[in-house]
Amino acid sequence: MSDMQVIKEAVIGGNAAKVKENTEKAVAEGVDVGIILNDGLIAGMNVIGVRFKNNEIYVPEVLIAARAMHAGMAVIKPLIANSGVREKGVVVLGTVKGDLHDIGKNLVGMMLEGAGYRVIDIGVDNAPDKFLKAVQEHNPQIVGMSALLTTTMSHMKATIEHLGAYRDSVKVMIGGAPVTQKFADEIGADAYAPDAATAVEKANQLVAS
Amino acid sequence: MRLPAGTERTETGGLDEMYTARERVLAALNHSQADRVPLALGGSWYGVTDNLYFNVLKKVGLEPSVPPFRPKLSHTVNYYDDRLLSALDVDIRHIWLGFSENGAPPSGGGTDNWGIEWVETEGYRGAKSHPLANATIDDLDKYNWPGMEGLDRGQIRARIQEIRRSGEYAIAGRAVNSYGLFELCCLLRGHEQFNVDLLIEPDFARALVEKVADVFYRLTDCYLDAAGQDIDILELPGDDYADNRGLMISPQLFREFFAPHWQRLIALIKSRSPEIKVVFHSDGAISALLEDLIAIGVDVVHPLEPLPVTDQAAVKQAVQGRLVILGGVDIKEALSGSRDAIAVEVRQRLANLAQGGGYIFAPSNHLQHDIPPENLITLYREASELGRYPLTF
Repeated sequence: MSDMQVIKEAVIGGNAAKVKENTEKAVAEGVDVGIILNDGLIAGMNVIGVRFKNNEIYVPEVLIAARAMHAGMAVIKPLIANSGVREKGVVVLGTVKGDLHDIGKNLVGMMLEGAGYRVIDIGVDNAPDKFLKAVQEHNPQIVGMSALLTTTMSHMKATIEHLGAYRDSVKVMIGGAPVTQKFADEIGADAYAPDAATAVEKANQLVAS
Repeated sequence: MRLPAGTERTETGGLDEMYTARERVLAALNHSQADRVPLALGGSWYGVTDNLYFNVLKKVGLEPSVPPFRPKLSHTVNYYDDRLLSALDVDIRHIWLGFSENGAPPSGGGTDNWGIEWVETEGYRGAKSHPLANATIDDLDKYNWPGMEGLDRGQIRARIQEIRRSGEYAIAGRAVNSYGLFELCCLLRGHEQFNVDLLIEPDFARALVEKVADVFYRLTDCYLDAAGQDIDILELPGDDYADNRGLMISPQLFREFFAPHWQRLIALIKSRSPEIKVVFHSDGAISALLEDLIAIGVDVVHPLEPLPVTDQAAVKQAVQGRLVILGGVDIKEALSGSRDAIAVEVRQRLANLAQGGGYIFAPSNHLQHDIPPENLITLYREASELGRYPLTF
């Protein structure tokens, strides 16, 4: 198995110590940071995303894989800035006003990071203005909003409206248990993702469009 | 407890026969059909949130409200009103233990009887901290697990007498705790960490689940002491193992960590009162766990949510005669719609789930305040009308 294959398999298996060790080894051997990132860490998370979507693995397996990926990221992060490696895009992610449920949002964040995005997680219970401020500060390509309750869902529409002129440059993706494609269409969101793996596919489509 | 007269005569579901509400429910619990599908509301996961409750009371002229059964107004659902249930032709009446109700954090936030700290926003609560986030196995022994003090047997007996005086209803015990094994461990430990524990620290996870299950066991024992001979149905603490697309943990992890403790709890209930039917709740697309639930002794499952990935009719057929379905009614879209939309929803659920009995009509989750009050009334009227056996659609 090649070094990158070892890292990839260790990410898939959720073995953080092995990912860290082999990433350090690869760096010491002078392997290009972009290769470690794309062929090792992200490649592993891609497999996780597919298996998760197909119900072959579940949330705990995704979480340990994400932790393993982070162990490798921590090693190469200081080197990325000077490496010429570009992130795939920036995503601002949060739950809407009144909604404290962040499990789904966190999973989406992990999957997006695993796919090479920089994720700005603004946490839970975000009024429209908090999303706007995060957009102004971080200049993302995508804003991701999540809601678990039928009663807090309505804040998604208010948030989209509040983004105002920024809507020209920012795509909005929404998700959460009560959210549907129909609702997304009604409030003028650009994409609806029913689960964390699909969120990555939708994000890829949004940044490509 | 005896099977009431009438349930054996239900094969044809003759409209002329008179059934009490309890007989109607027992028929469904025994996989048969009475004069109509029994209706449920006000259970652990299918109640009416406060604002909707107040709106409906106004609509049906029943103001003022009853006192809250959750004295600290600690939940989105704090009222249990027999008058409203009567107005809606609901066939079940609930009792509650008082553990979660009295041990909850005060309105606005605070610490509950498990030591979990809560914050409140717009009436909904979220956990602010996880008391066992950094715990080791040894810490679990030292943790201040909730005791049984403060449980009031007299109050439970009084509530049973109140129900008995009001009519012949099936009596259901609401869950002893607001959260089940998996969810409570997530709250105590932190959601992400507990999920990781299941794979990386299995000994810790096993020990934590056991500690929580032990408390449930003692609570259930107390409950049965007070009401075991009077209740027809007991709701287990609700535990979400699935989301909209499928299970959140593998069936193997469910079998290894959780099923044995649920089984232990159900065995306790059946050993004390064999006639009690046990209800298990999980949100989401839970179909892949139903055979496991049947195997550990679950009698009734709530809610079998109407999700794109769940073929309710096929699931019903697969478990017919072995597992009763409670719930199934969409609360996301249909109930905000027109009278016709509600009738379509009711017809759809009945067609999927009610054929041949073994079905109790109820919402898939608490009815939220975004539902117009007249729609709640319409929902139960339609169910009462359209649910007459034999079904004609």
